[in-house]
Amino acid sequence: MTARSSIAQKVNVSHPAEYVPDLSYYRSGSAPTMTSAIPTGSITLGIGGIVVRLDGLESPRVETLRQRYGVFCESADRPADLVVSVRRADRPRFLEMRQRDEFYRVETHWEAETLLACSYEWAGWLDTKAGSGGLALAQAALSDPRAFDRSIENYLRVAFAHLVISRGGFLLHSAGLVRDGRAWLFFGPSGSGKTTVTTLTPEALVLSDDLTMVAPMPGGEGGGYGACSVPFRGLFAPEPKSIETWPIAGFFRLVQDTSDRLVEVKGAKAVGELVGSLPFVTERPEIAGAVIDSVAGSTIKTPVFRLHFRKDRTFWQVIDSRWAGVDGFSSPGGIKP
Amino acid sequence: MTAGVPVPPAQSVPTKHPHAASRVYEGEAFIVLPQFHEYKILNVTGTRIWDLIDGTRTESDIARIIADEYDVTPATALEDVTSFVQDLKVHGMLAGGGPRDGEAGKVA
Repeated sequence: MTARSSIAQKVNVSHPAEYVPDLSYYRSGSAPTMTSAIPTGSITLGIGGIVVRLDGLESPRVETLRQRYGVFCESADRPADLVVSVRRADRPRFLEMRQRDEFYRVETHWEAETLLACSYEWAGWLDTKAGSGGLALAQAALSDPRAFDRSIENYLRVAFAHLVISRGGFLLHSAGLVRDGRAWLFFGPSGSGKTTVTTLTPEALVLSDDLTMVAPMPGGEGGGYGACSVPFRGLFAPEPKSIETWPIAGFFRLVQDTSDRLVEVKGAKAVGELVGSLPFVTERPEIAGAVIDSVAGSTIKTPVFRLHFRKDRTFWQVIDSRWAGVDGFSSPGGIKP
Repeated sequence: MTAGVPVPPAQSVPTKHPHAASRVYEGEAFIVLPQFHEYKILNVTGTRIWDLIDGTRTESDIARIIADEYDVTPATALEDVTSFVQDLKVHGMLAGGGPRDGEAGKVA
């Protein structure tokens, strides 16, 4: 009889913030509403059926965001799960870069039901139960269009990462490829081969080569899990073309090797493989249990593998032979949210 | 108990770290430690001990249960439980006293 623990794996790491606003910052009026002479407008975005509306944006910014978010833009009258009030901040920046090559840093903390987050040029909050949030843009975000795009996108990443948890789903750092009406999700740390498997599969509809949303398929209990594109892609990656949700065939943890093979993992190890590739949400004890439950729910419905692969497309032969004759999909096609 | 006198390991009452979130799948505990950005997986025996750590049982209490369930001598069970509890402390999975305890709460 030997009791032991194993598999200590690092997940996403952040650092203490030098300045993180608390809720009193937003309540105090330190972040006044946009009071410029430029008219303001709104943009409504939908991802996997989750709808977020940003209010208080200067009109020229709205058009820029519409172009950037393309197919994810929704009709303004669609009910939103989260309404965010965008404001000007009274600060030049919130966080400072500690070193030139610092990985983009987002600090988070909770006050009761409210999640607060901030980075270099923005600070925001959201209450998923109340359906409301706020975003303060520092002067650096308002004077530089790229900083503005970056700020909006990173606030939305945080918002959608937490909104989808409350629906039993999660965002996964993964390449999402659709073949034969099913989504195949390849995940792993940076450098594991997500972009490689994407470029080796030119016939696939690419949901993403980096970040994919996973959530229970519409239809309630007994259904499987689906995957869809998210618009978060950095500044220069191609724009996603599909907003449909596709039934997931399997999760594949990429392991570069000299031959191709699949090793199925189950139970706690399967959960661990996926949790190691989630952005943001494993950093906070307040929602860690909900995150585990969401991920575990997906592993019950969808198989998880370690895919040992060479850097050529022969790995698909291994996958195709594993799936030959398997037909557990009741709706082999995309579902529009 | 006199303040300042160390508690013998067998009489100490281990308590899970309040930030640790755990679930059991197919007999193995999956534990997320947000304060360290880590997760850990326990084997079946470790999971049983983790399950018995409830903030009221001493290590001796836990060892007695393990000895009964796994058909090992009480001395062997106590040695294993004590060693495992120490391992949990070292990895920051228990409240108080672990070498990593000072790091808790370092984020934001």
